[in-house]
Amino acid sequence: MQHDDIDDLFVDLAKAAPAPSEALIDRVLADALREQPKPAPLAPPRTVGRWSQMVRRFGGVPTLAGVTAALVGLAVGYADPTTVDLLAGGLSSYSIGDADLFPAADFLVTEG
Amino acid sequence: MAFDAHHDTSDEALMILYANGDRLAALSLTRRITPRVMAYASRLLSGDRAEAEDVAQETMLRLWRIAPEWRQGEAKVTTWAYRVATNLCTDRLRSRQRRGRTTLDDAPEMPDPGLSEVERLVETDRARALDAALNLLPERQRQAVVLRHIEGLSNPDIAAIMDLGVEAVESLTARGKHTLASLLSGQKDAIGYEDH
Repeated sequence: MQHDDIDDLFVDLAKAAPAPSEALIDRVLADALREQPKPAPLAPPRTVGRWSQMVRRFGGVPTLAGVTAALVGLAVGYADPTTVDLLAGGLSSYSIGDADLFPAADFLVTEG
Repeated sequence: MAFDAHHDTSDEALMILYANGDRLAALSLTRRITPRVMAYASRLLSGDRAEAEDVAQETMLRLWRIAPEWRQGEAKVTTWAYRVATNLCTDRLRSRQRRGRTTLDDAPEMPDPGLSEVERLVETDRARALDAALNLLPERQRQAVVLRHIEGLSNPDIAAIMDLGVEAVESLTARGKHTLASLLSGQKDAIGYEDH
């Protein structure tokens, strides 16, 4: 017998492979589902505090910080300069009254 | 063909999906791997269907249990399954040898080791003739020949399954095939082949 003939026999034998019964497939699948790792339970939702809710309503911490900065800027803009000096702790000896805002424009207001 | 929802997904990816709780992955792996292990075990266990089913179920059970630790790229699922099945079959064959061949379970399906048994079976059909001749091969030769020529695995895969070098596998399959040719040479009329 030649090896090529045996190769033909191998093909025949492979075609005649015993198939698993449906009962075996069912048992294997039952094992699979029994052994399958269960997904970890979901963590309970975190309760959100009132402060967090308010921050979130304003658009989060970055937005709130921007709004706060704007309000402070507005307050400083409206404040009396002496108040600003007071807020600065009187560190500045320079009075707002001493300020010459347009020193080079005096000739424009000179009559004559 | 059985339904396979993951027909484009590799066996290795299915293992990951299974470990992540995908039930369809379990079904796909069952349908893909079980028939191959079952057929292979049946060849190694001389056609004992009940034992082959036990081996197939046990192999698959071990597969499910290893799934959470499975890492893609480390091994092929089929190679791993064949390796486990090989070891389980070897254990059972050795257990048979220890018990002898006189139990009711073993006696009807175990061929006699002599050529006369091949001669009797060869009268039925060609596949059974080869099957009977395969049972006369030494255990390791039979494993190598079945994996190479019936299951269609590559020599490197067989080497991984049998824990051998590729050259050793080539040697085993060549010797096995030569032995089969010798065993079947006197049966060429019965199995439909002429001398060349």
